[in-house]
Amino acid sequence: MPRDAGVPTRIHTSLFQPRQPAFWVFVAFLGYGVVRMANALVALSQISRSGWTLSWLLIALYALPVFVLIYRLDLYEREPISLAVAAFLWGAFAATALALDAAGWDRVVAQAFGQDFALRWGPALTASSTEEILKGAGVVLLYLIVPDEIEDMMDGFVYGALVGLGFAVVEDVLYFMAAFGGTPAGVLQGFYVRVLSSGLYGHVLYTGLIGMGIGYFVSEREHEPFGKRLLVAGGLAAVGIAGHLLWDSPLFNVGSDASVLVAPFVLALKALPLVVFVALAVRLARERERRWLDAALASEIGGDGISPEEYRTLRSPHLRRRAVADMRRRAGRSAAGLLKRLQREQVNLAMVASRVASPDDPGLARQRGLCRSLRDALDAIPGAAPAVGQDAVAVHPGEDRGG
Amino acid sequence: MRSQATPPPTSAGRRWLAVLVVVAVLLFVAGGADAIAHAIAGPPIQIAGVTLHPQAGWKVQRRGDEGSLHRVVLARGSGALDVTVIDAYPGTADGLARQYQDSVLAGQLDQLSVGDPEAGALNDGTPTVRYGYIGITHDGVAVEGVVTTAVGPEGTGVVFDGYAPKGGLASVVGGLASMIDQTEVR
Repeated sequence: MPRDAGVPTRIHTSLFQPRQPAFWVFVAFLGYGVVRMANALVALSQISRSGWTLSWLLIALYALPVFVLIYRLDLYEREPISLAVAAFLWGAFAATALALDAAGWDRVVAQAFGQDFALRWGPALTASSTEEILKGAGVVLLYLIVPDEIEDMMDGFVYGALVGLGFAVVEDVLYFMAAFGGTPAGVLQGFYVRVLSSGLYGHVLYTGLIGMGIGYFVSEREHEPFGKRLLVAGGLAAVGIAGHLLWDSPLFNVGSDASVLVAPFVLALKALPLVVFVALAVRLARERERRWLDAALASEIGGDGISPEEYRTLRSPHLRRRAVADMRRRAGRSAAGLLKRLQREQVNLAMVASRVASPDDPGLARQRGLCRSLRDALDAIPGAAPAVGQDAVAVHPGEDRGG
Repeated sequence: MRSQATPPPTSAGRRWLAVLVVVAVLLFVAGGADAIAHAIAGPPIQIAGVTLHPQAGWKVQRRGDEGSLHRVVLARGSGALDVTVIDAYPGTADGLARQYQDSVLAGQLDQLSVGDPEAGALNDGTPTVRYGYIGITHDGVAVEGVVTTAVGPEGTGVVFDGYAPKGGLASVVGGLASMIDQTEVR
């Protein structure tokens, strides 16, 4: 990561790190996956062009909002878009292609436990472990390419979930075309069964948990012993794999005669424990981020870098978005862009403050100055000046009157 | 987002090692299954010109030769696979299937009912004929089974008769089909 000596200002890095060996490994496996899966997908398009097109349209309807949702999960720092897209592509092409290559593990289960056991349990045992390892390896490679971008559990969750989303997208299209007949009617049925009834969380959650484990393992290197980090990361990965195994297992399966209205509820119950677990884990990770922001900015509030009102707005993603929207309405698009930049630099101020040893560090002073200059520039735009800190006041009128 | 100070950068050597470990894991997961499956598979069984690959849990129960007929019976639980190999069989798989029905099944089972034969092939490409049947043994046990016949390129005829007490075939049919499909016939 390019960083001036003594000026530890956060600079987002991109995927393209040709000096990192992991970058070339990532590119090689991704290239292999693209070629392998493109051939498979093009061959499936011969079944029905309209069904194939419909498959992608339906999947896009599901995947785009989920991508945005995952991408925005991190409260204070959006991951570099090249890394987010790379994570998605790893899941979509590299992990799916390698998972097809790993189909031989079903034969191992059959050899070890017999064909009849393998017919019932083989897919659950092999797919859950091989697919999650292949997807998780993508997150590890991303970390090895740009270690600075996986800085906590939430970063790991975001990258893992994006890998899982990419995997789900291509796997669903394969299923629509190969298992549901590929005709428009078959694709619609497949979309109902695999996405609406059961696919809204699956791979995203499993790999999100594994990413969380990776995030914890690499970000707590300085603070936790190796054994504990391994235990936590292994535990989260085990929960992700177990969730996948349970989902693929023949346990609690609804029969083929189950009503199309009943089946989704039964499937939802099967996935409920994992959904609750992930929601709890994400909530805890976000609370942790908030506590980090509070601690990092404690000595900066009221200074040049951030005012108390700006701080209250900064803590809440909702208030931040609202402040930007209000600014756009009152002072125009460029003022809104400047406010977003100010908020981003104030998050960077927190990062710098948490890394330097002294409040007089030149890098910290420079970051305060940057925030101040942005605020001054904003104040100079007609109609913009009062808006910087008003949103928090508007949302907490009682506090304002009480003061 | 980092909660404390930045950890020291990982050394180049450790970074390389980590990358190599990831590559090894990817290659093992994607391609290691065949080696493991081969390592844990039981030894193949040779019967005249036929090579059988028993699945886990299937044990040889009986084995014998009588002139040009060679026979081995594998069993697992209540299921069985009776394999008969015929040296230099002059006919086709279809003829062998009919002959087995008339001369063996009809003699062993009462109330024999046979399904329509279906053409297929073993994994090595040898054409097969397959049909299902149900019947009652002379001591009153209802059985169901699947007969598969094949004649190899060098004229080796083989009959696979997989059966189980009525209701029990479903629990072994996967293993039967897999063993039959993997058989090599000369």
